[in-house]
Amino acid sequence: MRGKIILVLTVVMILVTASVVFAQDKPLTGKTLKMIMIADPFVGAFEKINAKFEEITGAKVVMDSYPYDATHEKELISLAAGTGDYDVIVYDIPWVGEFVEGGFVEDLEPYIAKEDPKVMAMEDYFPVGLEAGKWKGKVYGLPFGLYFVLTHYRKDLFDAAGVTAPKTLQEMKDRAKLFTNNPNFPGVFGISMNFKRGAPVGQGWFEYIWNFGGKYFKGVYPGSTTEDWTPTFDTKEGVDVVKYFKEMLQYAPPGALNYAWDEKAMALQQGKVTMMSEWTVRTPMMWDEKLSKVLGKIDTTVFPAGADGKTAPPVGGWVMGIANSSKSKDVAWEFIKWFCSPEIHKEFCKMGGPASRFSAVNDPELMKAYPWYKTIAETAPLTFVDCRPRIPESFEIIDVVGLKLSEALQDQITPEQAMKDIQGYVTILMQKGGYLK
Amino acid sequence: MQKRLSKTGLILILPSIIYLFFLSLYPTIYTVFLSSKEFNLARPHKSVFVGIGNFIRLFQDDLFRRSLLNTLVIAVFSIVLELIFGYIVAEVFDKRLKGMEALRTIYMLPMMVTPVVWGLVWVYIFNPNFGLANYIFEKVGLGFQPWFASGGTAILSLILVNIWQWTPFTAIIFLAGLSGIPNDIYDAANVDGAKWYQLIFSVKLPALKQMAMVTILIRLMDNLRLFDLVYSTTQGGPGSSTETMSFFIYRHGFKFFNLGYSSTAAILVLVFIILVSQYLIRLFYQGGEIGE
Repeated sequence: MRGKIILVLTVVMILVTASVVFAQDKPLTGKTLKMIMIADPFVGAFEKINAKFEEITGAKVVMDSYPYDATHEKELISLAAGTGDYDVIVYDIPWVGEFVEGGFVEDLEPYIAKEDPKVMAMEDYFPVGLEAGKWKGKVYGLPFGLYFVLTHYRKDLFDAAGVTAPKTLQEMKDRAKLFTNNPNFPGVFGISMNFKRGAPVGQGWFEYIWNFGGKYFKGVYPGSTTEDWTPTFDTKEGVDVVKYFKEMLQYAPPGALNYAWDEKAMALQQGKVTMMSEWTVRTPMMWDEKLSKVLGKIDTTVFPAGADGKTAPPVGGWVMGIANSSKSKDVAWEFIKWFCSPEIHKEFCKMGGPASRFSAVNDPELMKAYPWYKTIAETAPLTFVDCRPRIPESFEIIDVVGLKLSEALQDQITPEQAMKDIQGYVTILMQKGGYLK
Repeated sequence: MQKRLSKTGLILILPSIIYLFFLSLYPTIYTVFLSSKEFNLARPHKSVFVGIGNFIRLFQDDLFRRSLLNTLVIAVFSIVLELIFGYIVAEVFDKRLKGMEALRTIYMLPMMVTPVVWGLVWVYIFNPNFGLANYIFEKVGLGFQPWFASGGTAILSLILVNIWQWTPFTAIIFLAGLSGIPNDIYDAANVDGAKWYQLIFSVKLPALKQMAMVTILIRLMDNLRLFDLVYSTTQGGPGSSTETMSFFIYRHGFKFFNLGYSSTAAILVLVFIILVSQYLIRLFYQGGEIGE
């Protein structure tokens, strides 16, 4: 009997000790971390990595994801109300100015300063990404999800037609034309692009304007040293982009006027088109063994240059910051620090997340698995952080460009009128914002 | 006695007054206040008083004018067709055939589900590439239709979905009206040798007139603030072809957070709805008197 009691007591002691050790191993037990982001294809990778964070720390991670416009809406309303609904905010690069100027997100400099530089490995991020998460010289977001626009094309069909990947915008148009209604290539169209009203086609204009030799503000361009916010939308180059889009619409599948990012990528994935220029977050869709109908037939190349050979391929993506209204800023920082570390970033990339660090894009294992990493490495040094505006008015500017382009694409107005209307609208907006005297 | 009663009355209606004040009156007054300001939720510290500046901007705004036109087109076409189809459906359901009751319940289903859900369903049906609508159209030789993906067809598609969802509403009201016509009148008409069309135009339609007017009024107010269907299908596009007044307010209010400007549009829409419905109510009331 006595022996039994000793045995029971021993077991109880072991269990109690184990649970204490267990609890110490999981320092965030009982805490909840709430995060909000876009419902982009990286959500699946997030879910898996968040589960790992829960396992290691004991914290509970609650994640909400929404379509593009809805993400902006939900984030801004929640942050402006200051209710602390979210701790970690995943926000788009063009919204950085708006969120920082509104006082919605934390300055991350003090957090970074306290950490071991090796853990943060800031120099390992693509410089353009680091710049994208900064506002007035301070870091507000870590660029865990940097996207680059790569041109994706059907290598099998290009080889069969005896043509090379497009290096210039003109070549891109020629290729699109070649594959449309071509009896040798039945059932495919030349290209899929963002033509849908609002942010999809609006952002499209900003992606192409640089290689057409234009710009959107007088003093905003790579290497600019002046600060001049005079809008320059209604220039010849600006109109040329709209005309180019109109021409390209003829080489896109029927119904393309409603194509946004997902529809565009699905058209290539399902073998309906021969080409698209799209953010790297959707590149893995073409290599998806279950869903891709073009498995092993796709190759990538750098976004086509303008007539003069100059190029500034689009760069974008998502940064991760802490909500000012968060009640668990320490937990939020623990997550961000851990999630963005080079080791976890590699895991994230393995699961299809976009490569945002040099260590990832040069990792032999990842390079072998993801053939498009070589194009990212080629693209990254050519990019310009302000290829789309990042000022507080950006969302409205991009949406207005998207509305007017959409009107022009279906002949409600001329391309010239579209750019004139945008110029007028943005000028008033900039005057109100105090940018113009 | 009189005094005590009114006191009790006051206490009884107090909850409603408080409710109305906080949820209706105060927001309306605040909206009027906001309309006089240039106010952005993301940059509240930069807000300035602009007086009637927002109203001037609104009257010059091409997109607002377009949204007004689109809203009216959707409202007029939807209501007229809903009335016609609603009457036809009510006539069919009024025939007390076997299985009609079950059919009637099924027919009412579209109305029971929120328009956002139907919007998403119809986006799939109208998908130009793999949607059911084009599959059927191509099978029967009607060819490819862009549906929501072209300016011309997008507004027609919206009207179609709108009619599909709300015809059951007019049908159910007309059915109630038809059931209310006494058999004596039909008997009298038969004795007088009335033809079927005389029965419709001289007996049934006059009897349904008041109901039709109420239906028009309700559906007009619904359509003038049409938002959910547009939000879940076209988002106002392509171009500005399906921009409605409510979507215009939403775009400025919740995409750009220009609450000042969007409040201005909201007030204008409110005034417009009040004027139109008051005009219609008077018209119907006079019509009723003349009819009697």
